[in-house]
Amino acid sequence: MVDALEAVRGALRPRGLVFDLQPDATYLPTVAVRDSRGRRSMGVIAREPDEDVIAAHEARMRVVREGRFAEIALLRRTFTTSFTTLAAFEAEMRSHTPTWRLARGMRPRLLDAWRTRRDGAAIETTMRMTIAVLQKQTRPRR
Amino acid sequence: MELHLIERFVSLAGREIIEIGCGDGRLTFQYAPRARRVVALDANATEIQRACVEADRIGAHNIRFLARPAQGRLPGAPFDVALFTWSL
Repeated sequence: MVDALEAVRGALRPRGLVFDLQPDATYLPTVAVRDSRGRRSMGVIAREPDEDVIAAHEARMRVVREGRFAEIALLRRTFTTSFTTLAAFEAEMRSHTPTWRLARGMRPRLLDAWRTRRDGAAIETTMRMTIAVLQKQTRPRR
Repeated sequence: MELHLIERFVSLAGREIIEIGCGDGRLTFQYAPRARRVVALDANATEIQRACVEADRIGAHNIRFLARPAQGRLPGAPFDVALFTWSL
């Protein structure tokens, strides 16, 4: 992970910027069904600790500590992604295998809500992201 | 949402951008029309293939999608901005 940041550092112009968007290491994503009746929460995704995400945050902090980049902003924001088909939502879940799984009892609740949806319905996942803005430093600390 | 946040700090218009972990280009296709050129990397060759098909379909000629990890000497340098999207 530090290797990727170092490779990018070598490819950036002086004072070039890095935007690093990573999921919050501890936040549990939520699932809801939205249609003309409003938003119905289905529950949380029971996420295992994601070692890659934890390592990514540690790598970012390390290159800042070593003076290779300066951290000029660190933001936390909640992002919602909409899926207009059940297949698209399931593909998203599969892409996070094995770290994401639906909490107990959530799948039948989701299928029922989706079966009885009204026009314009979407399945929404909401999660918190960390957005770090780093600036390349030309003289790392020793 | 992501682009809105990024452009609070820097306009991507006319910039040379490298994106790490572009996947199928979901974010790439949103900002590329404003960028000068984009090099977008992802280690997943299937996702890159999807992105290339979409780039051809919509005529996005300023994007170079490459199936490779972000290590060593990166092609197309130098860049103004690097985007890491859930990818380290």
